[in-house]
Amino acid sequence: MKKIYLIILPLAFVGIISLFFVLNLNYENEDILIVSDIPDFKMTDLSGNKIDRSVFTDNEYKLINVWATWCINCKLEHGFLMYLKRENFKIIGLNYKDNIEKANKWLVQFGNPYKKNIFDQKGELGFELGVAGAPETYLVNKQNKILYKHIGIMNEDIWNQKFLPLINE
Amino acid sequence: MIPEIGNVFLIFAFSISVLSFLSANYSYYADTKIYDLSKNIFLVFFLLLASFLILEFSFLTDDFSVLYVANNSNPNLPAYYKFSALWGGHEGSLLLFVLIISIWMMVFSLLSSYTKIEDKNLVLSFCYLVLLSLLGFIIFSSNPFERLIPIASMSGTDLNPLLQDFAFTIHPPILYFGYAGLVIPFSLALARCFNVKEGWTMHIRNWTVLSWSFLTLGIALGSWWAYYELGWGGWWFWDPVENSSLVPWLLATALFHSAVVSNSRKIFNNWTILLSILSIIGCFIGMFLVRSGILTSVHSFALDPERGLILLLITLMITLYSFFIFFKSDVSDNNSINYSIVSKEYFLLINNLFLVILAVIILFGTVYPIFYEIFSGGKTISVGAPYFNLVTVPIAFFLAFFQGYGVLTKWSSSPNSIRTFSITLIVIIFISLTFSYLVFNYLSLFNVIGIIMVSSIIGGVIISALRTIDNKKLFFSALGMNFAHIGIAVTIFGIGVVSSHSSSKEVILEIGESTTLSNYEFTLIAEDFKEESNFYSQIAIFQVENQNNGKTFDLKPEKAFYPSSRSIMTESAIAITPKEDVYISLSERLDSGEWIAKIQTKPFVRFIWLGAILMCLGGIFSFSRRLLFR
Repeated sequence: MKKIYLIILPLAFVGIISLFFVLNLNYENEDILIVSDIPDFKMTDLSGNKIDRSVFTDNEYKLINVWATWCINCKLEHGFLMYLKRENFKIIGLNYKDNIEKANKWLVQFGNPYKKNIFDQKGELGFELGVAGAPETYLVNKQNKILYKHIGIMNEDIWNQKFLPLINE
Repeated sequence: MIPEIGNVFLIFAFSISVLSFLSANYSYYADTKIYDLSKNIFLVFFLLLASFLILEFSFLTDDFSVLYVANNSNPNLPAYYKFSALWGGHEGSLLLFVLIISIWMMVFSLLSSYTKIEDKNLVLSFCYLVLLSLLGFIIFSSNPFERLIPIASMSGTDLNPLLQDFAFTIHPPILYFGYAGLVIPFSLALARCFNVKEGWTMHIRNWTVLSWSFLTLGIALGSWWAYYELGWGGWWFWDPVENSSLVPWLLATALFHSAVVSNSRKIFNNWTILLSILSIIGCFIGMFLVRSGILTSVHSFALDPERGLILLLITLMITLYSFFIFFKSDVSDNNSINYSIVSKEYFLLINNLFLVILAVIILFGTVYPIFYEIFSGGKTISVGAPYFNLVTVPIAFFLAFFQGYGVLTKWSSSPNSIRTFSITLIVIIFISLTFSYLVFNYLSLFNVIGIIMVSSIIGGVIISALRTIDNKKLFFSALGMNFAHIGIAVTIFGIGVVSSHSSSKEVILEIGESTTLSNYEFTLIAEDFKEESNFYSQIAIFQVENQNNGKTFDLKPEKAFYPSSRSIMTESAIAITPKEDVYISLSERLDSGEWIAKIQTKPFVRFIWLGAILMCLGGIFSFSRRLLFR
């Protein structure tokens, strides 16, 4: 076999799969842009009161924030969530696979950015929403449809780049 | 303060690598003399070792102000696991990887002698290139010493419970020794393109064999770990990460076989260089697949596309750089060599061809879901065992079959070879059919295929050993190879029997109830509970009776709960008998008090790993013999 083939064939192979890798790396981000309804659920909040889908019924944009006391990165994004609360943005917390006492202590200690908190001890609602871990943040529109899902820490950059354009649309 | 020192050490090591790479290239092009670069490697090694130990110190002292420690450790973790938690995540494992690369460089520069110091510098400079790109990646984008400020956590998350296991302490380091070792043949091949000819094929063969031995052992350890820890009783899942370790392994196998030809016959030179480059690229692609989060697998690290992009850029940079050098080089073969269709050259060519095809189709199956996702507009697909078994088994069959006869051939050509070949073929098939019938009492295609593979390899090894038995030198020079080849046969035997003769059953049992599988009777006799510092678990105790000889033993599978990471782990219980493994894993405890369990028997499953150990020992023996009796 001529040497030139020894060079071109492998290079082409590596080149093509790399191209797909790059496409896919970018692709995944857009894939998270989903439109789906909030599933029906009946659970309790962190004080033990009943809570269901009606908590979302109002005519404004809101966030679902998946959090837990065992999640370090949730502490990191907590400051930004408090900022959003001061801006009067409605956040529904989904306390995910957590301990109810620890969760309440956390809210007293660090402040409570959430309008309501759904206590999802077994991760049932999380499963239906497609939660992979904590933290995750979902944008829900006025018609109670999930518009966008962000996996990982929420901060000002992500808010400005990903969430605000969707809200202003 | 201490973690910052570790960071400074890393930056020092990075700077020295950059300088060494640049100065070696400068001295080559400007044709000026520089000092011996192999001195630098000691410094780099100690700097990396120091920063490794500092990170280890942060783990052992529970310094949760370090983000990486907070994400991967927990105060309740036993000290032993805190130690190995260092390589439980992306950043730390990368640090371990560069440390191991520096160890290889150090050992290589200690053990190899060159008449011209410039030549050695040039070889090392390409190692420095790989080292500096990974160090740069660590420092700028995956720094393990990053602090968690302002809120320092007091508890940390946890090491993934899957990783809280002995195998995890040794599996990644040994595997990394395998990957990192491929840097040496890569550098030798590139240096050959710059006309560093001294002993290059010998070096490539020896060093590839050594790193291949580690790779073999590392992969086998991973398989063994999956077998007893994941609780499914399988030993290979065609998981993307397993595949991406198999691809460099296949390429490295092809590489040192090709280097044997280059060394003895001065042909296949360009092919050897190409394989050296491809092996390291295979490692990098594997690293990319694991660490970018592009594929989901049990091994996935943090999902961060940006890191993936940087890794991909590094991979492409190294690919383009090395292919450019390869393209500009002028390496020619010895034209006076002729070889016939039944010669050692020809059989090694077949071996190389099949190994590379195998590597390509496995890589293709692994990345196919990515192609599919793009073309289908977001739908996902997973390529599993049916595809891989279908495409790999036939190729593996021919590989094993030709391997057996290949070791009997001679360089160039052998007279009467076609007759010998046909006779061997007939004998092998005859032995296989008889053996298969005697062992299993019936004939099945799968068994016969497996037995043909095994018997042709072992037959070849025995005949070639008998031929050289009165020539001590020849006998010992082939001993390592023969060991490794028998290892492959043993592994294939294990795979064949396990795939066709395993039995399994899912049962729901309450205390006192029994069930039978194969020739065992299983009775659930009691339940238990235990609590450790980092987890607590429910235990079901089974009494197992072997109905053939009436012997009984207890098996205690567990279901463990790890509070700090809130995860549940299945600890299967395995009884090892000479012939087979008896395997129980728990699924769930029903509210009524019954247990759902999966019971399995796995005949000869241990042969799979025993074979890998033989391969590894053969490789190490062959390396050290060549080193000692040069």
